[in-house]
Amino acid sequence: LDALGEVYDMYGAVVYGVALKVTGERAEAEALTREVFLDLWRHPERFDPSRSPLRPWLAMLAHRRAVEAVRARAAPSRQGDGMVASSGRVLDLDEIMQSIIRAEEVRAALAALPEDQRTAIRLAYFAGKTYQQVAAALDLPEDTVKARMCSGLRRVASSVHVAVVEEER
Amino acid sequence: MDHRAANELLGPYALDACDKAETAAIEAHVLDCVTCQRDVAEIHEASGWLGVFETAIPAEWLRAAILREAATDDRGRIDRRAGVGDRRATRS
Repeated sequence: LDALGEVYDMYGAVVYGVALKVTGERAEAEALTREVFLDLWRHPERFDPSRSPLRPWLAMLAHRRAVEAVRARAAPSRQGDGMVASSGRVLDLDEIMQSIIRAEEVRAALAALPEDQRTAIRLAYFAGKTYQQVAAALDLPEDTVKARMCSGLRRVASSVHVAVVEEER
Repeated sequence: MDHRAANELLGPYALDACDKAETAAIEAHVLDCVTCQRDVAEIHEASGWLGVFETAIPAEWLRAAILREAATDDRGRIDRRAGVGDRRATRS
């Protein structure tokens, strides 16, 4: 149980932050955060450290649940703002530093993307839209949006992948 | 879903931007497709990193509530070196 508390202290702000960003609802983000950590507690075998570090993996879990919650209530997502703050109360400084560096790399990689790819990715990831909704919002064919998401993510992946493998193994 | 259709959707899939039916069809294809597995591994982690700087501090009570609930069951235990993971299981 101490281990769960420790993991929560390190990653609670990321899980809650992603859930809050996508859902825009504090109570919903709290419920999702609870689900993600209890899920990890009950099914630790689902996390495979050889595939991904824990931080992005938990962010992925939180994102998927948040998107499902937003779609289930069939309302447009709102951006969480105001209460977004940088994470505190964390233990592993080394992990934090690496994560900050990595987040900066991702931020830089996103910023370096062609505008059209960045827009497609942001609308999907941060606003929880489906690619069909993104296509409609941008007035573009769905195939175009699919392709932009794929190539944009590939670029982001390739610019951070080497460093991730070298540092986290 | 055939390979071409699934592979084209891996970007939206990694961003959780496919609906439930498409997501299930993509995952069914990926289970049997080494090429798609490699592509998913690459870009899915990238999409995970997109979220890591979206931090916000949750309310204090949440930590205690989660630990209290975890204490009521002994079904699991956090072990960072947990055995070989099952990609299929990560979708829940």
